[in-house]
Amino acid sequence: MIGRISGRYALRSLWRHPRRTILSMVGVGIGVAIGLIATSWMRGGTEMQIRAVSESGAGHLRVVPKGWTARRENTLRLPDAPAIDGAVRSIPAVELAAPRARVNALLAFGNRSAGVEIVGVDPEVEQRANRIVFKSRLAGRYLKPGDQNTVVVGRTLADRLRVDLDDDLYVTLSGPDGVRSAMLSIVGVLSTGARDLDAGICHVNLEVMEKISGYAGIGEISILLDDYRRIEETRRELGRQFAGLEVLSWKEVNPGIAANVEGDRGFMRALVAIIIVVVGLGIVSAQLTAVMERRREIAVLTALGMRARQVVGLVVIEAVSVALGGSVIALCIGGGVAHWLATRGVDIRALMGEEFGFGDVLLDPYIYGDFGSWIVFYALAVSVAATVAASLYPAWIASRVEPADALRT
Amino acid sequence: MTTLRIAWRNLGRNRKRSLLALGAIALAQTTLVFVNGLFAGSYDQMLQTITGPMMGHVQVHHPRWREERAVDLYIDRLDAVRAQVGAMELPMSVSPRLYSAVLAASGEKSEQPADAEPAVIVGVDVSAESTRDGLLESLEPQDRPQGNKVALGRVLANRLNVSEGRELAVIGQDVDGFPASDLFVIAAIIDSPVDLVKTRGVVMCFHTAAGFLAIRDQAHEIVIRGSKADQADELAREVAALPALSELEVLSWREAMPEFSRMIDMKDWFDMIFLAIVFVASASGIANTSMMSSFERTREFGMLLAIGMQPAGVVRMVLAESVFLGLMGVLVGSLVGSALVLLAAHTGINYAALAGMEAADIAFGGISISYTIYPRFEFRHILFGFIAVAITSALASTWPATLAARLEPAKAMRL
Repeated sequence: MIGRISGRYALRSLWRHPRRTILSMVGVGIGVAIGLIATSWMRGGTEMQIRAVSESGAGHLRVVPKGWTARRENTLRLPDAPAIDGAVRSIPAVELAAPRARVNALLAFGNRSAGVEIVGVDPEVEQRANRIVFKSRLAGRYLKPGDQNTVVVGRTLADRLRVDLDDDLYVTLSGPDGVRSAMLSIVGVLSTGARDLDAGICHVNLEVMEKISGYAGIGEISILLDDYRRIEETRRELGRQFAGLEVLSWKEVNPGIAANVEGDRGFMRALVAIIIVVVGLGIVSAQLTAVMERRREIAVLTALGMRARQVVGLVVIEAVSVALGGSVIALCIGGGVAHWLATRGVDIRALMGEEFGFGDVLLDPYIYGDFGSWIVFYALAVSVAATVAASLYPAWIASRVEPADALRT
Repeated sequence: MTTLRIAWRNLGRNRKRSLLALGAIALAQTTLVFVNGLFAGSYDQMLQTITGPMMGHVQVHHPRWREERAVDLYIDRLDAVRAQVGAMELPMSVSPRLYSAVLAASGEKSEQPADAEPAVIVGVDVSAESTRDGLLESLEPQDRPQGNKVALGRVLANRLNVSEGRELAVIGQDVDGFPASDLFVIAAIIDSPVDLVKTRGVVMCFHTAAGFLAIRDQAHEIVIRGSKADQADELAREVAALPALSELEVLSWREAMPEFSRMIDMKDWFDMIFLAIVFVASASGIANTSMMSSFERTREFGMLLAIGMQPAGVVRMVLAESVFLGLMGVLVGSLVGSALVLLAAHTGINYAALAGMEAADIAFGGISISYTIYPRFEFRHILFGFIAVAITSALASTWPATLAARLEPAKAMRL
C-alpha cells in the first residue's frame, strides 16, 4: 500500500518540475547515447578485426604440434594429421579446417632474390578459408589438387623478382638433411592491394611442400568457426581431444592485433565510464536539489509514519523514472546513429590510407557498427545503473531528514 | 566587481551543488588533457620513428627501388652523390644503406637440422647511424657492427634461437646473381622500431655488406637528416635539384609515407572530435546543474529586479557565477590532468597491459608501434578546455537568466 503511495508520490513530484525532469532525462540520454555509439563502433571494429585475422590465415583456432608456442618453429609437423583433421571436422561449430605446412625459403630468379615463408595448402579449402586468396585479384589461376611443382605468389613478390606467369622460380631452403633446392613454376599471381602483404604470399600444394622441403605431413590445422563467440567452448573441446597438441586462438597466433583489439576495448570502456560518471554527477546534483527543496514534505511524510526505507524508495523510484526517460532518449539518438553506422559503415581508408595490411592481416576497408537487440538492454541497464547509483546519496540525505527540525525551519 | 562578489557568494551558498558541478567539469577536463596527451605522445613516437631510424627526413633511391627492392636497383657513383649532397649549405647528415634478402641460420653445429629464416642484410654507415635518431642509436660503442660483427633484430634472433656472441650463417646472392654466403658474429640483438630491422634485420657495417654483395661505390638508399622534420619537403626539393641526383628518386618522408603523413595531420581533427564528445557529455551534466539552479532562483531574480537591479545586471551575475564555477572546474581538471600526463610521461603507459595483454608492439606500415606510450603535455589542450567550458557554462546559464530577467518583477516573485 505504502509502496504504491510512494510510487505515485514520486511520479507526481517529477511532474511538478517538468523542466528539471526533462533536463535530467536529456542529460542521461546523451551520456548513454554516447556510450551506445562508442560500444556499437567498438563491437563492429572488434568483429571486423577478428574476422580479418582469422580469415587471413590465423584461423579462430589453430591446432599445432606441442612446443610451437615456445619456438614458433615453422618446420614442426603434426603427428597423425589425418586423424586430427577428421576429429576437427566432426565438431559442429567448425565451419572450415585448413591444413597447412610452412617452410622458410629464399626465392630467386636471375639475379633477384627474396626471402619468404612458403605455405603448403589444400587448394580447395584455402580458396574458401583464406581471404588473401578469395579477396585478391588473381592473374592466372589458383593451385589445383594434383598440381606438380606449381606456385602462386603475391604481386609485389613477383615484381621484386621480376617474374610473371609461367616463369620458373629457383627455391633454396634448409631441409631436414641440409640445404635443398627446387624449381617451381608460377601459375598465379595474387594481389590484395597491400604492398607489404603481397610481398609475403607464396602458396604451394601440400604434396609439393613435402617434396621440396623434405618435411612430411602438415604443420597446423587452422579452424574457422561459424561464430567467433564459440572460440572458448570449442577450444576446450579440442583441448580435451588432443592432449598432446597445442590449441591456440587467434589471440596467441597474432598477439599484436589481439592487444590492439583488447586495448581499444579497455580504452573505450574507460572513456564511456568517465562520461557516465560526469553525467551522473549532474544527476546527483539535480536529485539533491529536488530532495532539499522538499525537506518539509518529506518531514511531513516521515511524521505521518513513512519509514526511512520508503523515503529511500521514493527517491530511487524517481531516479528509475528519469532513467527510463533517459534510455528512451538514448535509444532515439544512439540507436539512430548505431543503425546508421551499421548500415552505412565508415570507410577507414581515410584513416589508414589505401593499404589495409596490418602485418600479415588483410583488413576490410569498412567498419560497420554493431546493431541489435543488445542496444535496448544496454540503454536500459546503463541508464538505470547510473541514475540509481547517482540517487543513492540524495536518497540517504532524504532518509535522514528529522521531521521536527525540518518542520520548524 | 560587485557582480563578481555576489556571484562568488552565491556559489558558496549551495556548496554541495557547486562542488558536484565543479567535480564533473574537472573530471571531463582531466580526461581531455590526459587522453589528448596520450594521442600526442603516440603520434610523436610514430613521427620520431619515421623521421629518425626509419626514413630520415629525405631519402634517395633508384626510381624503381621502392616498388621492387631488388639488389641491382642501386644508386650509382655514390661518392660523387655524397660529395654533392655534403657540399650543400644546410646542416645535415648523409648516410647510405644497402639491403639484400638472404636466408640466415645459426652458424653453430647442432644435433638438430638448422632452421633457416628469411632475413635482410642492412648495411649502414655505423658512425652516422649511431648518433641520435639513427638506426643504431641504442647500441653501446662496443656492440656496434664492425668487420664481421653484426647486430641482429630481436624477433629474428628469437626465431633462430641465437644470442650475442654466437655465429650466424647467411646465404644469399650478390649483385650479379652469384651465390654468396658468409659467417658473421652476433655482436648485439636490437629492438628497433623499424619493423624490417626488428623482424628480419642483419645489420652490418656498410663495407661488409658491400663486400658480401660485390658492390662498390653504390648504395640502395641514402638517408638525409636535416635540422627539422617539418622542413623535409624543402630539403627534398633542394637535394633533388643537384645534378648528380637527376636520375634518382628523391622523396621527403611525407611523400614516401603519405598515409602516416595524413594520419599525423589528422591528429588535430581527432583532438577536436574527442573534445566535442567529452564536452557534449559533460555539458549535458553541467548545463543541467546550471540551468536548474538558475530556474529555481527565478523568485530571487524577481526580488533583485524589484529593488532596482537592471535586467542586464541579473544576467551578468548569473553568467559570472556559472563561468566562474566552470573555470574553477577547468583549473582543477587541468592541474590534475597535467600532473597525470607529466607522471605518465615519466613512467610510460602500457596500452596493451591495461587490457591484460602481453604484446609489446604492433606492426603497421613498416613501423613497429610500441604499446608503451609516453604522453606529451600540450598547453593547447588546456586552452581547448577553458574555451569549451566557458562557452558551455555561459550558454547554459544565460538562457534561464534571460528568461527571468525579462519577467515582470511581481510575476517572477510569485513563481
